[in-house]
Amino acid sequence: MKKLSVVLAMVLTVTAMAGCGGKSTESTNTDTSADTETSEGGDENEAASGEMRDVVVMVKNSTAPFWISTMDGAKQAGEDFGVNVIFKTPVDTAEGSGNEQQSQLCEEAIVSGADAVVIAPVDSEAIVPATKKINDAGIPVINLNTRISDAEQYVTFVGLENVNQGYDTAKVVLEKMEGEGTIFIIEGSTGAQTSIDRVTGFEKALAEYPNIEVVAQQSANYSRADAMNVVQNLLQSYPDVDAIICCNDEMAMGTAEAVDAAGKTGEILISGQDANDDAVGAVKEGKLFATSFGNPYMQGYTAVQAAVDVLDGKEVEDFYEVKTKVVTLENVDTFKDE
Amino acid sequence: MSLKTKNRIDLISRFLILLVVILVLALLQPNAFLNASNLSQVIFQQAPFTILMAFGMSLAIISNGIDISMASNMVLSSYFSAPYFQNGQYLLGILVSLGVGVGFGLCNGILISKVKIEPFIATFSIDFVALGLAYVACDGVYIYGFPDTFRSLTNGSLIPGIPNIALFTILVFALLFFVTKCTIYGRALYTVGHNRTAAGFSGIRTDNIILSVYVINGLLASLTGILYLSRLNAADPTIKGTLTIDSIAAALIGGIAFGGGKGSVLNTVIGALVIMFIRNGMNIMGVSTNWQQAVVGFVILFSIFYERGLSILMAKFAEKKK
Repeated sequence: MKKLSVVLAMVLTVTAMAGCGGKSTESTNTDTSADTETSEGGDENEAASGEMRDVVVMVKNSTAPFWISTMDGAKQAGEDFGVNVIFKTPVDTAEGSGNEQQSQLCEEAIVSGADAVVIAPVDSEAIVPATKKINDAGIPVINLNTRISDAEQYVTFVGLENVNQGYDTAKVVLEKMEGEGTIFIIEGSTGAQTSIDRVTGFEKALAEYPNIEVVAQQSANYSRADAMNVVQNLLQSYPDVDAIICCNDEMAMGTAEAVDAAGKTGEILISGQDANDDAVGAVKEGKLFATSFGNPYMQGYTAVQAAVDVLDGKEVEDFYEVKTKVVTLENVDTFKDE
Repeated sequence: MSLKTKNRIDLISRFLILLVVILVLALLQPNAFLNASNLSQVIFQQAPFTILMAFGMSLAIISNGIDISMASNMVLSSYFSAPYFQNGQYLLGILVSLGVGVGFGLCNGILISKVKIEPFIATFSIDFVALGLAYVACDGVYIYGFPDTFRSLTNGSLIPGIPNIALFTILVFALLFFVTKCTIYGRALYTVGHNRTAAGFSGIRTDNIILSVYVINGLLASLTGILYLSRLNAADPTIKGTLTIDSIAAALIGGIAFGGGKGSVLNTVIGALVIMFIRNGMNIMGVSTNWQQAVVGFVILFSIFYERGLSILMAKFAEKKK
């Protein structure tokens, strides 16, 4: 009976994992026998085109709208440039285990004979041993979205500058405050590079406004529910805060609900990052003051394009920058077209 | 010393932990912490979710099991029912939410009681299934913005001064307290948790009791999910957060023994409040969120030693009396 239970648990877990893969149909079934271009069939696509090159795209999770959009972009680029885009994503979205799973997926990518690996590391330090293995196997690494701490590890970096994104967004908020007042900073999960970079950007902007004081700086784990509690609690000590700057939109939306519950909607400027649909809607309603469009679709697209450039032996720049844009009430309907 | 007095002493001692936590925070932050608006916010607005989930966890632990899947079940049931609530089809929304919640509860119950899979493994797997499905259904689109009528479920007050969310929690508490303490079913639940074989021999249909626990948990997950939708004004899979861990912690700190058959839902409430006050107090003091995690861990450890110490003390006391 015990054996049966273990098998059942494994089956269920695998089902759940497959479920999480969502859009990527080939997420785990990469052909292990294919060492280079010529695959021995199995996959119809590969067999038909003969030498479709495999580009493994590893993002941080397949659940956040941001990454889903990134994968859409990568998929489109795969079709446009005629490469096989294979998604590998960690199931666990927590920082620690996310890195461990990404490291395993890197090994999988080597075994499955990928031609290039695009990776957005969950943890930019801890991923290094895994990317080293990929490099040792002679597979080029294209770094997406979050910089790997060791620049030796990747051929080129595709993404936005999170520091600049944070700076731009904070600047708009601080300008609106006319250089006076108090703010909260709501950070993402501790240790997350995006959070660290965005906060660095916030601080850079704050340095230009010496009369604005950060009265509280706390993490809400990139989560809506956590942010709502944290901000409710903080409002107890600082009910007169003028602005709350958050490291992503989910937390900004939780913050907006906490502010709403306190009856202060419109009195406190709230900003997020990423320009998720619900956040953009909230900007229209006046619940959020600003968010920032990171163009995840273009990030995914450009990353695969960069991978193809590398594989074609073209000379590549060391940074493919994807521009971000601060979204406020003024450009809320047009920011995607500009 | 009778079991009843023992339980009573244990409960009072848990209450003391809560008082100490409140006292320490009040001393550290006399202005921001110790005022009616902050206390009522924690007790009436933030704690109910942890309390409701911890009720389920406690029932499972009392029956000598555990339910890892509740938080994911809550996410999934809220996700599927969200579109109906958004369109004002409340009855349909409730039915869908209950269908999902109770359905998964039933799965847990059958896996554990009939197929005899370890509760941890069964609910652990169901946890993955439910959360995975929620992510598939969500596909990166958060459902946002609910009608005011629906939102008044949490932020309205039928009784002035007590938000409806707290009212729900009090009602659920009263019901569970009555069922576990004053009915034959409740007695059977404790007996099964204490010693399943003996309970079977004394004519209790142990399978059905265990099955029922997980169905009740499904119900609680579905209810919590609906209330969460109303509070956050959004359906978002990340709301699972630390609820599973928090509810286990609440049960442990409250004094629900992992061996089963011990503790009541009142213990759970105390445990949940301890955690919520620690989180609230540390937010107010501006302590990093990571410290909260560590401190909650220390409190769990402390409460385990506390329990050990307490039972040794009581045993000595009983010996002396002889």
